[in-house]
Amino acid sequence: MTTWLIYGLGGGWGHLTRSLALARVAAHHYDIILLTNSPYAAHIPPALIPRTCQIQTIAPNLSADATRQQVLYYLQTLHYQCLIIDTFPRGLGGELASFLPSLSEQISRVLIHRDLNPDYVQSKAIRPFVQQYYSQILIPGEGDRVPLADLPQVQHTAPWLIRSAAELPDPAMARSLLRLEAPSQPTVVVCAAGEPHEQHQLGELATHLAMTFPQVTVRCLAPVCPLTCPPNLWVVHYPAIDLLQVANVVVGGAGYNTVAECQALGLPLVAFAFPRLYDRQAERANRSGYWVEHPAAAISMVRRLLPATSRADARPAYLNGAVQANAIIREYTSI
Amino acid sequence: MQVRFVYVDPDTRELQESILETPIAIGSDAAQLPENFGTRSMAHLVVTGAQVAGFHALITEANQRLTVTEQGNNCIWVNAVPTPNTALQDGDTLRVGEVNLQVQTNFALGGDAAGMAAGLGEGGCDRQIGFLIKRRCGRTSAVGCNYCDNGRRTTDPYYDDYAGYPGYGRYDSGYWGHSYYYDRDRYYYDPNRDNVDFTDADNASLGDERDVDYEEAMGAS
Repeated sequence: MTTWLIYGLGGGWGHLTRSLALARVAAHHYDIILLTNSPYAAHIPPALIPRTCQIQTIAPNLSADATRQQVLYYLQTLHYQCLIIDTFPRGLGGELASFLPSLSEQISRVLIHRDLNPDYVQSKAIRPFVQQYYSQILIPGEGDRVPLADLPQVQHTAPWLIRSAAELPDPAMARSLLRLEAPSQPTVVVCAAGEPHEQHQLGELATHLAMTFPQVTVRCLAPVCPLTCPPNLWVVHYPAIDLLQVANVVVGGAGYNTVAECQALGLPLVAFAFPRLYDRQAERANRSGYWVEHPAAAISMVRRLLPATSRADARPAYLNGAVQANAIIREYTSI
Repeated sequence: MQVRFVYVDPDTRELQESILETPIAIGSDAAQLPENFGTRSMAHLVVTGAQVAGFHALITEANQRLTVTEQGNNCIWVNAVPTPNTALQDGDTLRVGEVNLQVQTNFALGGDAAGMAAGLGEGGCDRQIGFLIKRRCGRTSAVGCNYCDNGRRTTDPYYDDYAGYPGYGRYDSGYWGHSYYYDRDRYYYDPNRDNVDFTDADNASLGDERDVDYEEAMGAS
């Protein structure tokens, strides 16, 4: 069977989730190896990982050099016919800069072009590198203002989601997972992902929201309960989209997945733009969310948005760009 | 960029040498050679020869690369190949009329370290200095020069740094050097002030710049 190797290195949930979104679709036709160093890899429920998908984890606490060596080891020893690189054309540690020129021409190379800091693109001469070593670029719902959007090998898809609409659990199940005791009450879900201090800040915000809006159910979705958040507000579940479908308003960072999931579900997202080395959350928050800069502004925005929201139990309908991407890569590689 | 020409004068049969800064106009009649190229002043290489036109060829430089272009359908040859225009590299032979010019871009500069420390003559130091934008040094004394460390260093102090900056020397759009090249007047050699060093004002204009450690944080996103 043909194998796709997906390079999904990078911190947080984003690279892992986007890569897994593609892997879950492609695994119907191919063997998949997903390379990740996300500390959250261990939190992925086994049921979400297809039988033909192997998640190859590199320890997140390794040094940069050790990570580069492990990546190169896997890239040089594993057998695959298509190499798909998420976000970082030269690799997260620049390790692909010397590897890709030596990679057999028989192996297809595809770049998933999530938004990138233009300063990085310029300082590492990303554009000529991509022009030379990638024959296909997929932009997963990030629009045409990302730095490499004008290259001729670009194709756009809808945002990539870990669940297609038909795969979402029943809304009653989602309410149960969120412990919604009064289903008629509006629900605000705070997605406390990101750096520890950001989770801390969002946990605190969830507490303030619960105190400010006693007639609203507030839940804080986080891998571990932030110290600033009472345990009765905390929920742990992956993927978030399972639960967000029954929310009225979502509060969180403007990372790729949170924005994409809210957009797919038609949910208002009150978004903080957290600073990232490569991503531009401010651009995304400005484009797709209700961008706020401090907790008080977030509370005001939630107050403004709540009356205008209502949730129906009808299943949401949306396109999953990962399905489109799978078809495009299959056609391109003809394998 | 400096170019050294070595050739035999067809009239005198004597070996000639000229070191000129680009852009360079080559011809037999100084009066026909243009004074300027855009906003830059043109250097002149006057070579006598029956087959050399008054203004025969033009050498320009962009992104540290030389290009020679014939003028007025006066044929030129590079390494014995006739061409209307082509890139020029160190060691090439450029034929203009009946004159063969040996082109050198990578040449040793006159004077040893002691000589540099003592003084560099009227024309000043010919070394290409600087990192962001290479420029002729022009100092008349090595005393106080950080680049050559008061004449003690003859190698390029930035040699090891080039490898750390992919695309170094590329100044076209899309490369990190583009913005520096665009702003080059801020810190380019100023012949009116004889200022070849960064001033305090130059430093201040770059004061907010910092190297970001891309590709080192393996938990970044």
